[in-house]
Amino acid sequence: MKDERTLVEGCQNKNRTAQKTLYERFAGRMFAVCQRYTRSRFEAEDVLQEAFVKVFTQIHTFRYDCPLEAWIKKIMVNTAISYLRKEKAYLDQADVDDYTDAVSEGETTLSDMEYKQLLGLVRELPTGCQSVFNLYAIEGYQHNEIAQILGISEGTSKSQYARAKQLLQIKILETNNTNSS
Amino acid sequence: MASSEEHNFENEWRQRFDDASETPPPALWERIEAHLDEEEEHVMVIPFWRRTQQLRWVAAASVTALLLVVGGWWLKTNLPEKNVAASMELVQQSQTVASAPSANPSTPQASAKQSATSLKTNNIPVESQVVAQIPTEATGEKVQIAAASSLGEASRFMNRNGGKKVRNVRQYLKQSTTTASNSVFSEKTIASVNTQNSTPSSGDQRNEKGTSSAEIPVVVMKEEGKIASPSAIKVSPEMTLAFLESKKMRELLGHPKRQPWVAAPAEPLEAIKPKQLPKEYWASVGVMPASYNAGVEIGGSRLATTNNAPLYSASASFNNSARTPSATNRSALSYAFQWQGGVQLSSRWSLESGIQYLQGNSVYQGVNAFSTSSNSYINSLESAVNLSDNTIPRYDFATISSDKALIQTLSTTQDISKPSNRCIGRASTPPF
Repeated sequence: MKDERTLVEGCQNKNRTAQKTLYERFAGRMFAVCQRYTRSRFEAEDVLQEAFVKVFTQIHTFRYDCPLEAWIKKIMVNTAISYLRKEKAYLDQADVDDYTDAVSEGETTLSDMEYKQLLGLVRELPTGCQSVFNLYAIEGYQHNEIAQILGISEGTSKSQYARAKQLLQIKILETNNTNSS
Repeated sequence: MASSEEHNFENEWRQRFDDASETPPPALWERIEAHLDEEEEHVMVIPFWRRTQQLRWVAAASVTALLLVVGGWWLKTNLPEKNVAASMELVQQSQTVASAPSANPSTPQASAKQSATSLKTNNIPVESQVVAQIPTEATGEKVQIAAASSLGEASRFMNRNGGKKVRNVRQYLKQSTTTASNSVFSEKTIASVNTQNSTPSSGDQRNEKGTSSAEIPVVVMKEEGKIASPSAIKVSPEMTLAFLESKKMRELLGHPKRQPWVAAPAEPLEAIKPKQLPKEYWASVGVMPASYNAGVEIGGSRLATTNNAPLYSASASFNNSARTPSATNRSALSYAFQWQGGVQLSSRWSLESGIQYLQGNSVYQGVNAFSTSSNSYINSLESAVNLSDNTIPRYDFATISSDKALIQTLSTTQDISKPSNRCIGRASTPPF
């Protein structure tokens, strides 16, 4: 913890060595976060770069009221969402209620699936669904918070999540079936 | 049941993704670094801005100064018009005085009669025509003349140049006389009688050109001594028109209000054109107060350190009796007088020169700056100089401290050699 504080102070003093240390410590996990929100590796790199520049320019606002990693992750997520918004990725977003029929339970375990496969599944989701799924399932935001972040209604957030969940379950089922057969 | 199921789904995904890590390409850090370098370059500007923010009164003072300058410029550009208006009234009054021999000088009829008689005596065929406010078609080419203001301009011209320009004017008028005698044409000069209202009306005074131009040189010659009051000067319309063109009087603000419509001959206009612009002279005198603190230190702790004494004991080991306050700097009110003059040679070129006297009153007083009584540095320096060369005259450093001339030189060079703007900057900057 003390180490983290010196690291932050070094970054606040624009010490290039401290900045590089911080980058190297968090870049891997943050790159994974960026991958989840984007569709390609290039987009993820763009977001990661933009977000780390933001981290270093805004580090003086860090007040140690949360873990440094959580603070950086929040910046990653916000940068990713504003990046997608800039790319007009949310244009296809709409309320979808057709997918509310539940898929049969018990068969959608992720036990046999690898991280890369799961990432591929998430990336195949429509952009709106992808973001809502990331925010709700992985980051643990509530629907009203997601609505605020994405600038959509709470109902849209819920329906988008339901659609994402259903799409994922179908895909997992298909994958499991092909694996078992 | 459903909610726990939902929970399981999310937990499963979260667990898989929470610890996920992927190595980004190594070139990414270089890109981020380049970005950060750019950002820092942008930030470089900020400290200066913050500093100026603290000096809000400097901004306020500069805005005030700017307003003063702009106001002065505005006043200066608008002033000539007022001068013209003033001299115009003066000339109008003098014209009414000129027509004093008649019984009732204020009436236009009387002056008209007078001119009519003068025309008769000269026996020159003149097509006389009374010009009213509205020009008639019969007068041929109509030219818009600001008679009143141009008269004023003419008189001003006479005033300024005085005797020097009289000769020019006389030649100028002779020329016009020869052209006038060759051709027969009508001449009108308007002297607006009603000076109070300054409306161009009623009073039309007709002068034959020959008589008027013949009169002017004589009058001007007489007036050489007393230039201040140009009484009884009659100006031919050609001259007034010429001056009008050169001075661009028509472009003055508010001028059209005083413009009567007058028919004037076109020929002389072409024949007589000013060959060069009248020279303009100007001068200015200025005083600039300032203050400056030299802030010079000679001696003191700096010499003490050269004395091989440790820093912490510098003041203790130093002989205090020998160098009590080593130097005092005192700022005082300094001032500069400046005088400038110039002459306009042409529309593009002007010759300007000036002289400035700067009195710097800031004082630097070095008490025993080169004291030798206990300073081994000076002693060794003295011995080194005296031993090094026996041919040069011995220089006694002990006398330097009492050498008034040297101290005087020190103080004066510090005062004068610094630029004035630095003085101001130094005086105004609060300590940080």
